[in-house]
Amino acid sequence: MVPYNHPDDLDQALKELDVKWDPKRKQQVHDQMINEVRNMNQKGSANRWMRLAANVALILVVSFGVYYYVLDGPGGQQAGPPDSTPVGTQADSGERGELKEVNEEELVKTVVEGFGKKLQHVSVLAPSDSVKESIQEHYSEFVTPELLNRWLDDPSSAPGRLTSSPWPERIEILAMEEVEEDVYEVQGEVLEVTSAGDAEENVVSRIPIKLTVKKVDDQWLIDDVVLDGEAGDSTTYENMEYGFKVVLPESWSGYAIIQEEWVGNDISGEGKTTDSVKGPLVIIRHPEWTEKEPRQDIPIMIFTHEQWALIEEAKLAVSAAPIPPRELGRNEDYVFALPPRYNYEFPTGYEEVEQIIESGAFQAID
Amino acid sequence: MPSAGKEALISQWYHQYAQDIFSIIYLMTGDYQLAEDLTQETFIKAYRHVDTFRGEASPKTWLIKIGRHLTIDYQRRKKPMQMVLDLLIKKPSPNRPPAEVVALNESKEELWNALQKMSRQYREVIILRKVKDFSTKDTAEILGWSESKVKVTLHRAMEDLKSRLKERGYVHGAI
Repeated sequence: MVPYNHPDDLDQALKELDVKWDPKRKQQVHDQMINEVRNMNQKGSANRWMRLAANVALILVVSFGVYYYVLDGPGGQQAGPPDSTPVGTQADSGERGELKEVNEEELVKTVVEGFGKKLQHVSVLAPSDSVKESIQEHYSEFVTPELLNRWLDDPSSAPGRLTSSPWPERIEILAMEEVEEDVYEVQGEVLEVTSAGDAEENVVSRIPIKLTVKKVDDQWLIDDVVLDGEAGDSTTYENMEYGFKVVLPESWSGYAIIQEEWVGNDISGEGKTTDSVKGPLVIIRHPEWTEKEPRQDIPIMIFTHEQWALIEEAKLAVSAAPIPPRELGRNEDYVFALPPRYNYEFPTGYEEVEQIIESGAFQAID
Repeated sequence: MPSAGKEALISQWYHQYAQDIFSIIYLMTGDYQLAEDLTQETFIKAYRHVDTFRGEASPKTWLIKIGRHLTIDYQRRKKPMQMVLDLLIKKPSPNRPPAEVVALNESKEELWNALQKMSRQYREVIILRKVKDFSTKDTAEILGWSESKVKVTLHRAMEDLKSRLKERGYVHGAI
């Protein structure tokens, strides 16, 4: 048998069957397509005008008939001139409104979400040439030439995939604001997953991201991307959902946020375990954390005041440890706490995390 | 949606998704010119029907679905005519891989040929999942199948592809 002499496996060989469309041809087809839809609109518009003219003529004929029959008929009176209605005014203003109203936010959303889907295809830790090729292939349609060149000059500054798992699956947009004409600022989160699919349970971390999207030659393109932790000297993690923030050292720039749940047991009935109780657990993870070499996380348990009261009364247990969680702070709705023995295994960086906690980095927000 | 808004939206979508749509149609048909025509047709059709797009699926999967239906319609329409033409004109093998697709090394050519000879279902699921790297969920959405059908069909399609490659005398560690 002849060896199947592809350097990699069959999956890799199949991927290589993908074909790149000649950009010039692609642009030509785009221009033809736009001409085609404009022709369709002109025809449609001409047809609309013809229908409008026919309707107006019909109305005039009918009105004239009624007018003549009712007022000018047998024994009728002298009629005055018919009211002159400015035919077409409404249609004119409608047409102008139509041209003016462009759903910019939808376009910005499209470009950001499209870009988000491409992040997983750019492995930023691959050899530089390969990263550049990948950036060119996957990002060029979404970003301005200036941003693309910046990333090609320094591929390590480009966002993308850091590990085989988890990987960045998509960008979820949280807020969007037009900061100046034809420029939008988009706040969102990069959702990282460990298995494919849109289900919420697949999401293992959410990395805040800020994008600047602007209109260049009638096309909306991303002009700047800042992943949280890269923004100036700010390394503050702020959670507006529950109301707290944590000020982190610079070395935590690029941290990941993992949303999990704490599970506790109601132990009020003579120490007997009954129903389980659940609540949110937000984990701030150091950027150098890997599966092989995990680093100390900052886990923050979130309780309602009722749940916290049960913990204080030793009616709710959230761990096998005989000590309760340690309160970090509270606001009107929630109490925030460190899990008991959260650093029990003393992984790399546990002293730093203790220092962060002791420095008063955690702040509840009302 | 107003026509100016529709035009801007379709143009934006074109810049972002036309490459994927073109390559899928190209892999399905093996005809560069036809893939360009059907890609253009996809966006014109999307323009006409964009008001019906409710955002339940992503624009990308919605557009690919349109492109796929246009390709299938074209191939159905073409079949009777093609049979007559094939009888009248001796044509080169329709399964020859286009030069633009591959850098024609022997194994790739065989892979292309094997893929082109597979049933449409198998070919589609391999193109979407293996060549284009779509998720099972997106593939199911595009093909209108359940996710489990995508998984089962992909498994069978890969087995079929491997056996076709073996028949042609190609072996590989992964096969």
